[in-house]
Amino acid sequence: MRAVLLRLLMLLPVLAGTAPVKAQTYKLKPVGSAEGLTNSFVHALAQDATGRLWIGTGEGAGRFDGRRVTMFTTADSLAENFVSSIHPAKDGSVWFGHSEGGISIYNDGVFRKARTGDITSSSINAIIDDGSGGFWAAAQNNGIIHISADGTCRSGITMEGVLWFSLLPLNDGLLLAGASDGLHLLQVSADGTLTFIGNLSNVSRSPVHALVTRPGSKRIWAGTGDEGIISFTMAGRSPTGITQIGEKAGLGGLQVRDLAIGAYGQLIVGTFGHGAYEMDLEGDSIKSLLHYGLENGLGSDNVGAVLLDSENNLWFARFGLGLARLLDRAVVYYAAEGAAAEDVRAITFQGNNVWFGIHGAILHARNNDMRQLDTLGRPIGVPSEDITALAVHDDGRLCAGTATAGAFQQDATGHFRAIPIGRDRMSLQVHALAVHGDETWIGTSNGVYVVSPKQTRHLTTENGLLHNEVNALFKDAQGRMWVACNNGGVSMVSGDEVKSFTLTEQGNAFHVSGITQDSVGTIWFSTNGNGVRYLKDDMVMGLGAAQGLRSDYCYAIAADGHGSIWTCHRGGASRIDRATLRVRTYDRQFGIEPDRRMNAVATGTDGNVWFGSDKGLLRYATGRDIRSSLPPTAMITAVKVSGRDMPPTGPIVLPPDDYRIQFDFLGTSLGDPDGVHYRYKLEGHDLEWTETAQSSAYYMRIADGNYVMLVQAAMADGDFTGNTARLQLIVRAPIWKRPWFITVCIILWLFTVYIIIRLRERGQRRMRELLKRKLDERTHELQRKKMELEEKNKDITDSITYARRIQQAILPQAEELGTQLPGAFVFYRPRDIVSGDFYWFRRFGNKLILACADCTGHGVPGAFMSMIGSMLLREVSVEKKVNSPDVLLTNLDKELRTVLRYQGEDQHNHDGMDISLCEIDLSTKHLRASAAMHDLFILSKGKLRRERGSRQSIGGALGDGAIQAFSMIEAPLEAGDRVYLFSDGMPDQFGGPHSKKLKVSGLFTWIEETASLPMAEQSEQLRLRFNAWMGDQEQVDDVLLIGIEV
Amino acid sequence: MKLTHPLLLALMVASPLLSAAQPVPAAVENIPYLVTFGANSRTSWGDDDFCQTFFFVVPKTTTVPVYIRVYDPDCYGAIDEAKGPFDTVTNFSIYGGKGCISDPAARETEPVGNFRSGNLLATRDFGADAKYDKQWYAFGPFDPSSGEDMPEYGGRVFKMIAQGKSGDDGNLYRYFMSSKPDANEAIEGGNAFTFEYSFRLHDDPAEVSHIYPYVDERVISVKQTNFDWDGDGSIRVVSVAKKGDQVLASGDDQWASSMLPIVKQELNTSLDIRFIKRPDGAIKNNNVVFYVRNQYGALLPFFTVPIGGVPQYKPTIAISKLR
Repeated sequence: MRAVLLRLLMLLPVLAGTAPVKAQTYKLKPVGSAEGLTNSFVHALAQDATGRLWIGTGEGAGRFDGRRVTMFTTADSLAENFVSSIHPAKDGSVWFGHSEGGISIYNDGVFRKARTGDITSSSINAIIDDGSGGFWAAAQNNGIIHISADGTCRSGITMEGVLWFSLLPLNDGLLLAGASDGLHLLQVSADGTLTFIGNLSNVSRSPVHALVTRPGSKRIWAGTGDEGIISFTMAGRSPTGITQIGEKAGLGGLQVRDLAIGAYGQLIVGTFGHGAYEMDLEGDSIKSLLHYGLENGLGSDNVGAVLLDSENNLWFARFGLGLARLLDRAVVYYAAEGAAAEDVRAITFQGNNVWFGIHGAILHARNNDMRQLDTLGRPIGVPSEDITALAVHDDGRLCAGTATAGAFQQDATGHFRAIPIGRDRMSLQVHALAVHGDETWIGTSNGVYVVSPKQTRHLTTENGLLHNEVNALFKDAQGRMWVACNNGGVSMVSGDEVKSFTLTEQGNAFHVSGITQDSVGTIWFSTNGNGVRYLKDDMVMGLGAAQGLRSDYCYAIAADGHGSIWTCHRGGASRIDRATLRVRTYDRQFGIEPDRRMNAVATGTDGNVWFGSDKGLLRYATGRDIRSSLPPTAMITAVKVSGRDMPPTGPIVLPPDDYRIQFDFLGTSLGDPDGVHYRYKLEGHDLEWTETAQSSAYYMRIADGNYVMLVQAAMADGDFTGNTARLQLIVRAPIWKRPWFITVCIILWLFTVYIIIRLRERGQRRMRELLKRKLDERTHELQRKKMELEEKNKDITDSITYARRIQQAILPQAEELGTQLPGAFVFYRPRDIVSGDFYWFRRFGNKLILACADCTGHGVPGAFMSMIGSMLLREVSVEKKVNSPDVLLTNLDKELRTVLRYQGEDQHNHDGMDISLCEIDLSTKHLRASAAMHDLFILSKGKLRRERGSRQSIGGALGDGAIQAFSMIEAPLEAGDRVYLFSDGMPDQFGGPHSKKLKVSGLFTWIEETASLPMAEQSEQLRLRFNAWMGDQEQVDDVLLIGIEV
Repeated sequence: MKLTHPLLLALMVASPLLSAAQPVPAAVENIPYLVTFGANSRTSWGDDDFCQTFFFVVPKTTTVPVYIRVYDPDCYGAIDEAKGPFDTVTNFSIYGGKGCISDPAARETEPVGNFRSGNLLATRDFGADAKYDKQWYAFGPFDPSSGEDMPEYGGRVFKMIAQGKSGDDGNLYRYFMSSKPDANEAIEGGNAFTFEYSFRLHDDPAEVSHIYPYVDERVISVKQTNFDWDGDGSIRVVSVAKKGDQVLASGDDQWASSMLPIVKQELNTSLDIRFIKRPDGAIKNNNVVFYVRNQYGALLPFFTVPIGGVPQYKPTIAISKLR
């Protein structure tokens, strides 16, 4: 019975009558004058290492960064305006072949011209790497030429009448060249010369405009001028397995202009006259074939170049219409003819059959072939209503739900019959259908009707549903039926059991719009206002706009066969990766127009996701959604320094100042330029990266320093794992901050110090030399003077020595005193040769007058004074017969002042003498003594006493006419008594252990201690003591000590 | 043979008419077909060098793809002239780019030297292939920028060379420069010209064919040269100053030349060379070659639509007072 029914269903197209033709369309985004492309004839396409697209036109080369095309012409140093070929070299440079034989090279932002000279004059149709840093180029009329990396050209090989179009390097130094007469095999020798091996005429005799090979494959595809695509393999130097691709599919006569290999090995073909093809090949058989042409969205059948970029975007160079990018290679639109038929609200699958509901009809595609659709319409009972739900039984019977007329189901003849459910208005509003065995589940505004051949059940809130407005029904892998309720949550029906999950957020119940189950059994819900929820361990988890959904308002949900959950929004869809929960959104960039209403979504058996919209059907071939995981290449495109444009290519060096700096950067995404995000950091200024969706960064007041601008780019759902664009910026330090300046200053300072030191040294040396010279002069002078002095000294000394003799001659002899007074001694030690101290004695009868004098000064002056004193003593005592010591001193004083007054001009001189003078009556041993500034010791009766003289000197500074009187000391002596007279030489002598003066008291002690000794011994003892006392000290004065014993 | 600005000015003035210029031959020429014989043919059959070059001009403002369509490119069927079984292969090649017309060899009558100068844009051999008999074949699309930029010719120039590679049959064909591959939709502002015309005459003696050499302001006199006229009537020149001066016509497999003085009124206008067949119509399948040089020996271009329009004789009438 079921087989019969199926056969009947196969006849449905006949029963249904007219089958409207549906057009499969692709959405393309043109790149033309609006984007800056100034010429609509594109001859070549290539993507450079930065991800930017280079476009070769008849009026210059364009560079497309995803948003804008920047055109370059001869004004930018392009060799020619007509660009016939483009080759992105491995070193990052881009090579351009021109129509009149010129070759341009773009590197680091500037163009230069290859030195083609007279070698080429015709179109450079192809350029390839030679594997050694150079390039081979096919010059149409000039053969194959070689260009070294520095742009120097040399001829390779040429043939009369042969035009060269394409090149493909092979192993073993072989080179395949496509020419006007087919394929030529060439050999590159070790020295770089090119030799002709043979014409592969068995491959094709047609012009070969393109040659490609799939990475890892030995198969080669040649795109010919009128024989389509020829596939072959080179076995050594011979082609084998020569096959014309797609001959049976009518592709044998294609005028192929370009070939490209897709990300998963598919062959992309650009033709003149037949648009472009994308073919999956299994061997040389076409496994699947997509055609892009004039009628299905490409807008042209002339495609001069094709390119599949690194993001898997497919580009077409539409001849005369500019460039176009297939918005999403996975997206295919099926737009129905007639506006009323475009609003697709329901989709269902069974095997390779797909049905979708439009107003008043159900369209059926068999074997997923959308090119011819069967229409099930009014003739077989489909009501003139919006078909809002579809489901199909295992036996092929189709069920349809309508917006206001209830549900219908095909009978054995294929006609649609109303399913008997409630006839109230709410029950006739069908929102969802599902089949479960022989049961038909109908979701309405009045709960769920479960209709089976045996019975009809009506599930409402009374049975446990959360709400009677049922938006969706879903039978999970466990056979449970899930019911999406409009206001409250979901219910799960298993047998007679109804289990409900209330979904609320902040007290508001969810409006659940759809249910699906992923490959691991997780149940997912779409909600109208609360995003997507899923059950995990009886917990309800969710994602919303905050997690990346395009909107919180989701109208349908489905799991595809590739691990993703899809949900629909107005104007777009969101795709959730089940494993990572990462969300990717799809909207205009992917061909979904912003105002497009997404009604329904379903997954086919092939895993493709189908969306119903108000403008037809959209199929998303998830398997074709192969996107590059590589992040965009980041570039710094412009730098503006305080309003002035600077080249963004190299280090920017600025003079010292504070600058406002704007960096413009770009992460090229040819497919989704709005999805590029950036992060940047100005090293030397920023500590952290700054993330932004803007493509500019501004810095104010950048002062001196070394900076490096770092920029990275990533897609919105990606990480910053790509390259880092760098731009060095140097703001020079003021001169006084610069190391060299500091170094120079230090060096100058050190040099200055050095110079100063050297100058000082030189000055000192000069000074030393001067001093030395002066010293020498002085020394010489001194020596001279010394000699003179020595001479004079000698003379003086001689004189003084002679004077001593005179002085000694004048002074009485000590021995003579001994005769007068036995035992008397005179300790007389002049400090110099001659002495200022002198002694004098004279006997007058029984009286002996003895004087001990110390004249002012010592040495020669003292000697003179002593002589004067001695002479005056003589004169006073002898000639004036004065015999009283005190009178004698008075007279001596008077005479001395008289003598000195007459002899000196100085009226106030202090020259004079201290003297002690005694008179001893030898008979009576009576002592009379008088002293001027002298004391004398008298040892009488064994006791030594000190007798003080007058406290004025002889001479000195008395006024005119003044007479000094001196006291008289009288003492009766006895035999053995001793008298000691002395000058101040001995008491004033420094010495002893403390270098002190001996003083009169010291002398007194000495004499007292030695008083018991005989006079001679006492004299000797005193001499020894004095010598010992003086030690190494200089003698400070003339020393005179007289001792007498009566 | 560099055209000067008056030609450009004239082209600009004539531009409204030029959409009609892209059929080659044009309607005003009333020439049924161009003709190129196979390389092994006899010159006595009417083709002196088995090669014909035509130039097509597109304005620089053109933004649509350019197609050059060939009608009946094969050498087979009722249109073409068989000399025994059809065995002729004709090559059609289209050139653009540098040297396409600026190379002197490209502007000469003989296919020698670098007459195939420029970038080859398309080429195809046609033999006896019924597939293309009485059908159009479109070369292209071509980027207008692919032509050689020649402002003095009014835009970018493409060169079409039809050359008999082998065989001895006569290939008769037409051209049309179109913006569509499958229809004759003229390129706006486009034009076509040649320096040596090889064409088939009507068999009907009532039909008069015309070609229109352009006389620039430097011309003092011209020398017309024709080949293999076969004595098929007369060749006359009509201009603003010439009422129909007969020129020396050639016989079978012969060249004939004659001088024509050019008067001031004829400067910057086209001459109308009229090929008037014998009234008896005895000569059939007559092919003829024609070119014109000025006093310097430079070839004059034949525009398919005459620059300045088809010249009309303007007689000088002396008016005397009636007595």
